[in-house]
Amino acid sequence: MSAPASRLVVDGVGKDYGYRHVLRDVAFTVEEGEFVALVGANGAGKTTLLRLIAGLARPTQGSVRIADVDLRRAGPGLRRRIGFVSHESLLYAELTGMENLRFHARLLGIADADAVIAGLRDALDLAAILDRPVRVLSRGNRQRLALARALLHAPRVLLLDEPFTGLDEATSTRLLDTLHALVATGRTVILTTHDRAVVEAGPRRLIRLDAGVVVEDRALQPGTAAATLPAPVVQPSFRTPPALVAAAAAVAGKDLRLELRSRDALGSAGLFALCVLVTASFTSPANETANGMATGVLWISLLFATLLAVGRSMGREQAERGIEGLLLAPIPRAAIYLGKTVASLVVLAILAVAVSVLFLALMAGSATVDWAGFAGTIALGTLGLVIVGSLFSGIALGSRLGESLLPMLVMPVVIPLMVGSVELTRSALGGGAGGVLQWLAILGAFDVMMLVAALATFVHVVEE
Amino acid sequence: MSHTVSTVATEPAPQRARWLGWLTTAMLAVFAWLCFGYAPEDTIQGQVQRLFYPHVSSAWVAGLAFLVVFVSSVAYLVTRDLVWDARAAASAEVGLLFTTGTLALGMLWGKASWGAYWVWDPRLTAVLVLWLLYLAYMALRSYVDDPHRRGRFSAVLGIVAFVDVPIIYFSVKWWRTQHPSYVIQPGMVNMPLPMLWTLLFGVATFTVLYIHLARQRMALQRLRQHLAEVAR
Repeated sequence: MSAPASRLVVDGVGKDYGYRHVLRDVAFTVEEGEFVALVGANGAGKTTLLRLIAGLARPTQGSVRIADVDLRRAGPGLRRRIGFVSHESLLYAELTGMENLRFHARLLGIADADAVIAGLRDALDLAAILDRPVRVLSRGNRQRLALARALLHAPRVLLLDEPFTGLDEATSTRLLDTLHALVATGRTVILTTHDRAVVEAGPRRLIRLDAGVVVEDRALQPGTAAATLPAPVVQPSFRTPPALVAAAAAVAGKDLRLELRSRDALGSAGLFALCVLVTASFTSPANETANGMATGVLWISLLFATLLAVGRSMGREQAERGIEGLLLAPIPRAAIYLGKTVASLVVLAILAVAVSVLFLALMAGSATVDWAGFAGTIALGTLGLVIVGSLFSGIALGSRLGESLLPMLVMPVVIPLMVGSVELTRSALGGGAGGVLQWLAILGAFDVMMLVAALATFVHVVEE
Repeated sequence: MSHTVSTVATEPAPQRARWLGWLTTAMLAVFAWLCFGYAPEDTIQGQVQRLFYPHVSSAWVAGLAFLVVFVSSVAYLVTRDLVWDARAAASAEVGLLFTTGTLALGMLWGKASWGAYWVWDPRLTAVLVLWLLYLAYMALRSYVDDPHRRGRFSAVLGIVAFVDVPIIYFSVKWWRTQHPSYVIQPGMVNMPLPMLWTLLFGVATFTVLYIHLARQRMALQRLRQHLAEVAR
């Protein structure tokens, strides 16, 4: 007999971080429609366990199964059964609430997104905050918006990590009522909390963790709260979740919208490239493009402009853990990389045009320009820089050194690309020693091989 | 794919490690005799040509170590077993050592042959890039604390860096070069037999040395992990 559609089985799960055992042999089953409170002292492993159930981290031992399917092998369909409300909102601060919800609805493959969002707006009283940027919202309002994001696809299992933290009493009561209403519709709710009042008022079962081990698992008396609200879910019409290209387009569109709002990457990287070119033009004799120094300066400025731009792009994902919102979506992981790369490429294309015009005006002197060769080189070289930079920006931000590590990782890898780009640029300006086809082969091979390697490995950069 | 429990490298059995150590020492001694006593003096380059044997052997091991880093990185990402990460790290450390040796010997040889310690010959440049990649790999490892995160990140770098290896190989054909062309090509050996035997023995010796050092490094890694577990 097959398992109920959303029965959750945590089977002998352990999780190590470093040499620390955060969870050890955790095992329990949660049936459909249960309301479970996960309690324990700070550091007991509650958040880690919730993240494992959400599929955001892999267990070191054991498995987590929903409807008898191991989460590690879960396809998009299974990921659509889970909703997760984290400490962070998983939203993008520069976008409005509505833009955030529409973006996630698109990733979730919701056909009638506006109707679903309208339903959530009424049920969660979001009307006053939907059109405001997330960055100006209070903690409580962000939390409500995060709940709306988690409920967009009417998930069968809702996971909430200390959802009452920072909420006022009225909002807490409303949230508790909302959770009751969800349970009444057969949905499973698991929340972590330190609040005894929450435990007494809602959940029907308590699981207590101590130092990563389940030490108590018992039923609770029915709480005092009752479902006074209608369940805030509108069963959406699903279409097939976006495939690689469509999902990448959604991610790229979101990134470009963020850049348009903040102009962070364009501003910082553009100013940097401008300063490098102007400073270098004072030290470079006129009409000396053929010796490679001037073209070297051009490519150094493009390299660091790229590092600034891709670092900023991934930095935005880390700010409110937006990257985890992407990982929860039923889309191919490679689409995240592809989307971010395309968006960075658009930003860099704008920068490259501006930098090239400045370079030709300040440093190329009277060189005869082969426009097709020059533009092609800029395109191929910039593409390679963005491909490598986008991959390593995630790694750098996950290290102790942060963005400072990015140049150290990227520069050795792109040396062949830089050398090839400089030589081709020299050729396009009437210098160089020839061998255009060989250099083009190097740039082309570099771009293709790095793209393939990045698409294959990016998932390991962002997934625990 | 779950992380596996076997989070420590396999310590080489002391007996075997000692045996391998003696074998390495003996082979190094024979190799030294082959280099300076058996192989004939090169009629054009003279005594300095003898650097060729450890230089090429060292370059071979650097490439082999890089291949092991790549294979171990892929294996780690598939299995999430830290033993593979330890293998990759050990191989990268030893590979860095041999790449440094290749560069140093190449510079000495270059000074005698070309009159300069360094020329921007593409193949030398490519080895320099490889050396920088190894350095970046080691730097990355030192800036990530969590072993599994360190394993994931460095495996990605190990795989991407390996993409540069074909560029190193093909650079001889694609780029103008001052570097001596291949002395051994399919169907053609362009050196006297004593020189060839010395070179082949050098390659074998350095390969055994690489295995010995990598195993010792793995054992050290195991001790560190034990220490960390005890201190936890």
